[in-house]
Amino acid sequence: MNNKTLVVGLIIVSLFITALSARNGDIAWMTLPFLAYLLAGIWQAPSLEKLSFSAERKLEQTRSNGIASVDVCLSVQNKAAEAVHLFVYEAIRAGMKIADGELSRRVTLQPGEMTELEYSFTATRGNFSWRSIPILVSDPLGLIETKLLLPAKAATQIQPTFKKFKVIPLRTYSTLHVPGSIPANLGGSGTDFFGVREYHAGDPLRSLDWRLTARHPRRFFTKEFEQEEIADIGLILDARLGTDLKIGEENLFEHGISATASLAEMFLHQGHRVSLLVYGRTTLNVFPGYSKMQLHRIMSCLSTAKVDSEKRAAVPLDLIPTRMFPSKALIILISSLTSEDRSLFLRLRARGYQVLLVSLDPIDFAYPTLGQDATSQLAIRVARLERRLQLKNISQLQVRVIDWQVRQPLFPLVRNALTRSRGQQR
Amino acid sequence: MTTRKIFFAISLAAMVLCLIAGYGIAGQWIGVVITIITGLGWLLGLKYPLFWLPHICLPVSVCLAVAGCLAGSSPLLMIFGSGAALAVWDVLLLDASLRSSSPREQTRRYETDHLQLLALAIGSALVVVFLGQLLHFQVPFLVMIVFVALVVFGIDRVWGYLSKYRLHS
Repeated sequence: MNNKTLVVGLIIVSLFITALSARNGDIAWMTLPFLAYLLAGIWQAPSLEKLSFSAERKLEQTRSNGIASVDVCLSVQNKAAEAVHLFVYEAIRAGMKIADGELSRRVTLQPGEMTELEYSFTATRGNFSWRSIPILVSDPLGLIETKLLLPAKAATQIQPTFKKFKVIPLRTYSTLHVPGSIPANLGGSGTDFFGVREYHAGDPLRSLDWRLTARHPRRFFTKEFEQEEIADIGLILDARLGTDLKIGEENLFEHGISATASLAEMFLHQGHRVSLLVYGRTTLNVFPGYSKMQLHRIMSCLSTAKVDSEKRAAVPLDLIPTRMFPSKALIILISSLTSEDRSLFLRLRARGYQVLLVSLDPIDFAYPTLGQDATSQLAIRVARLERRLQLKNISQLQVRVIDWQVRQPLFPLVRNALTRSRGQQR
Repeated sequence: MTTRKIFFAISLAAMVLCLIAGYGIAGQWIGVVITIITGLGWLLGLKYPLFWLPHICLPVSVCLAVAGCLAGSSPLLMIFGSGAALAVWDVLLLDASLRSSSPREQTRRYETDHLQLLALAIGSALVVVFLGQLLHFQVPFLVMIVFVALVVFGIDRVWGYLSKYRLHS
């Protein structure tokens, strides 16, 4: 029963009661148009047994990024032998922003006739899936409505938008013994000169250092080149509630997502082995891997990443499962940090990981909304000092720290932090 | 101007004229003033399709018709006025629900079917009322009580019928 039926029913009952209490036949007559209206609706209501529909939901893209819009087409066909009156509508999911098109329509479908509803939507990121198309079958007056869910499965994934970073000459403590692009501090085949050693049987003649051999009679020397290998990189994105900040439509966590996606794309493009951990009350992880498939896995993981809900207590960063990262890997933590997070860095360094902290600056992010009076400015100054002190404490553990003000480009900061010489990093 | 807008204008004019004529003949000018205000309320409902406005205007119009009947105005005009108010209310809700739909053949067909059934239901009811008033068909009070009892028991059957139309997935 919908609102229309309820209103008409209430008026009929009220008129009857008034007619009885006033003993006025004219008021009783007044109910007749309302009764006729209600009965016409009941009389024309479709029989559920005779209804038959086929439905389909088409998505232009099953995977997209936040910039492009996704086109959706819903089609419902009447397969019954009689005409039906329908209200077709779309169930909008949270996070969808409708860019164009029609989300609902009232139609009368003749037997075999089809109606289509087309719209396009955008979203920051996320997985959107539907199982059915909801329709309301009713009489022409819309009094007796029946909701039907027509099976029509479809799903699309909106991956986070990210900025493509240029390739940077990365220097890491340790490398994987797989040919790659990072100088591995090991002699072997490569392009850069590494050193000279005495000739071993089997060395190719073209690698002989003829000048040195000429200076030392009866001894041969071979030139060595520096091997180039790939690095093991672990990305950790902090999704704890305490580290997120929302100002209007903008969200600090989304900047973290975008930075993680950019870093993952850059490292995988260079051929490195990358893993991801989204850490919160519920963790999401992608185990180490290479190639475009790994990038897709990481993007899928990032599209579903959410900040912890407010109802749950914050978890300490110290509980991060570091075992999922290979030993001596380069770990990049993307977090705005809380005051108790220093111990994690101590643990990571003790286990031999090389650590880079990309710390999103929440004070700078919130600054436009903060007060400009003297007290507020003093509070901002104190908060900045506290944050600077915390970052300095962390950097004393031989952790590279990037204090990222999210409105600034991240790439130059990452390049400067990761291309220092090996000696400086240790 | 779409068909439903024409239908709305005719129904509104009929409602206002019936009620004004009824109150005017009886010399109850306050009723005339309230009718005009209600008419403006209906027009406001067309311009700003708020959910609650039509649902307020319909009971007000019916109350006006009932008050007119009780105050001695012409019952035929009052009944016609309340019937026209029902038509205005329905067309207003129809307009609100079709506003987001693109003007396609299928939607136009829905609109036509809706308006035809509405006109048939209210028109036939008003003809029956007119004939009933013309023939001075007096229902004895006891018969009326029996009729009401039948309606009350009938509600149970109608409720059972309506409960079948729940969610079917």
